[in-house]
Amino acid sequence: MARQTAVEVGVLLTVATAALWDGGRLILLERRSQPQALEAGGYEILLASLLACLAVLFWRRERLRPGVDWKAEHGLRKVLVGFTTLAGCVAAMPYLGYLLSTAVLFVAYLRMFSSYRWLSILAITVVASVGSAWLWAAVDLLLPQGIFLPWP
Amino acid sequence: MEQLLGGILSALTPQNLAYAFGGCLIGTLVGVLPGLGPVSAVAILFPFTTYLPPTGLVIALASIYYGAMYGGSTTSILVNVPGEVASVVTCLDGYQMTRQGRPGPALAIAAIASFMAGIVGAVLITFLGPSVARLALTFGPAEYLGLGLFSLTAIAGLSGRSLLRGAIVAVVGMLLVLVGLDESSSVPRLTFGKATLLQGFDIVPVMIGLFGVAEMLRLLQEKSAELAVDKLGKLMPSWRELRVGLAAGARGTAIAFPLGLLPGMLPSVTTFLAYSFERQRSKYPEKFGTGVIEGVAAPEAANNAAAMANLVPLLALGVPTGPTMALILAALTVYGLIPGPLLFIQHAQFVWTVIGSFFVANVILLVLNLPLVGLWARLATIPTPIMAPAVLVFCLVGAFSIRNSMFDVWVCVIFGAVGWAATKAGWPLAPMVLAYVLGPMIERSARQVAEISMTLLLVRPLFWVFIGMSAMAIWFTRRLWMEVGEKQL
Repeated sequence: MARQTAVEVGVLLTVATAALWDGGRLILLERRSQPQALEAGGYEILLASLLACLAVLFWRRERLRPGVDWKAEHGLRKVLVGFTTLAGCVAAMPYLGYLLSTAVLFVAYLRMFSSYRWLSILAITVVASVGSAWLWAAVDLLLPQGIFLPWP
Repeated sequence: MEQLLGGILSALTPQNLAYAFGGCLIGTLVGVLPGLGPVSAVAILFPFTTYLPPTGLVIALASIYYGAMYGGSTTSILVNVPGEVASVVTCLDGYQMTRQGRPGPALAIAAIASFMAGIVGAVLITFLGPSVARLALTFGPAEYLGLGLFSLTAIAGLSGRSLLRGAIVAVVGMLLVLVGLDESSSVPRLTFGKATLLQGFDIVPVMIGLFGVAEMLRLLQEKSAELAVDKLGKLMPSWRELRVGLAAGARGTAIAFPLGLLPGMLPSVTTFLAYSFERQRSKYPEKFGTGVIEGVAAPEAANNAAAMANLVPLLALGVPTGPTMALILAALTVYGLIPGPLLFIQHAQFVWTVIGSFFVANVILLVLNLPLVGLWARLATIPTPIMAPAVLVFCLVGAFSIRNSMFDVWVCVIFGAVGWAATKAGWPLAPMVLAYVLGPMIERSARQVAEISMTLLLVRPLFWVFIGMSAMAIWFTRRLWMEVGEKQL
């Protein structure tokens, strides 16, 4: 079976199993205290069963179909680096605040994906992060401040 | 007709005019950026429109949508980079006209054909909307269950080549919307004891992730666009080209508007069908792809006509036909304006003002965009390393602003990765979004039917009409994808 199909079917069956378990929990445990839990759980089990059946059907149809050759995918490394950088900035945002984490994101992307000089990178970063922070402050949009700067 | 005139007059108030103008301008600006189409533009900009009053919000969102469609056409014609899948067909002849030194007439006919289709579509909405709404007043839980099942079936089939993949994604969407508290019994579902999951996933961060963040990740894999010409030259087409283009646009409108009423009908399907029809009926089909005016006018008109048609099921039945309509539905629900038959009765002025604004927005787009086409062309070539972080920051801020919660930002980021991987692996995203929106309606109707009696389904003929339409949708989509697969562009 193509590896990609195996992963896809595995994910779908995991989701279906989780939903089946949760639906069973509602029906067996919650319905005494909450009668409508029977309907809520039953609907969940219905959807989970449907998903499981569709996943099995999908496996039967596509198990011999070759998946995407991820290693040959052009620019995959850029996507992984870009996503990891984005996730890192989001993780740091509650501590660095919007202004600093936006600046870090711009510096990282411009440094990794362009051939601009440091002066250009810093100029674009300052304009983008300070300009956008000013814009959000002007429209009274609340954003994480972090622990270093009191603005925006 | 009096209500329509009243709606147009209401849309011409300075405030509503400003919302329409701003929406068209910002929508075109975002739509011109490579990788961002109408759906991405609406998803990313939606959180910022929630500060507007209800009428302004819908006017702004619809204007952003139409503006982004036009922006996508501009990049298709000038830099051979479609702003969305539906604009791929426009690249074929539009870019060739640019290479021949005639980008101006290509852009002008795209704008004029879109304008014509938009006006015709708005007129048809005027008559169809109230009629469909009157029919929907007779709907009960059985009919809504049938309508929901038909919508999901059509979406699953029309959104991609595989009905099975569409169905799987739709069911996943329906499960995702269960996360949180059940609205009837308030029992937590799929939270696994996590307090943060009790609030569920808001549709806006999910959509920003799927259509905004995912697109920027995809863009990292591609080179920045370059302009094929330095100057745009003469803007207007000749009289002959205008006549031929408008006729092609009229045919594209006639094909696309009925199809746009169907849930899940991909804009790319309507544009392809319109283009294919023009080529088949032409005396010189071999010239298509070399820069013929019909090859630009027909798909552009079809795109706009289908977009207008999408509003009929949304306003009259409360059924969104695509991700953008799903967002507009979510926006209206926040204000307590539940799209459906009662909207035409209880909030008639709101509905007619919104319909009137479509006429106004189409005029604004025509007047606004042609003089600014040089600016849009420059924007289309913004380097990816600058554009990607800027758009990503917009996405993060938009996701955070919904509930001032970092949880929503993480939802946005994670769904961005999911959206990128799913698209690469050939999974459609539209069924998930629409199932997310329709899921609560389907569950509510199913539980009401189960409470009353399952035999209720036997005595409600409209339910079986919708089931029959579901079967026809499956047959139609199989035929459609067979034909699409046989024909070569």
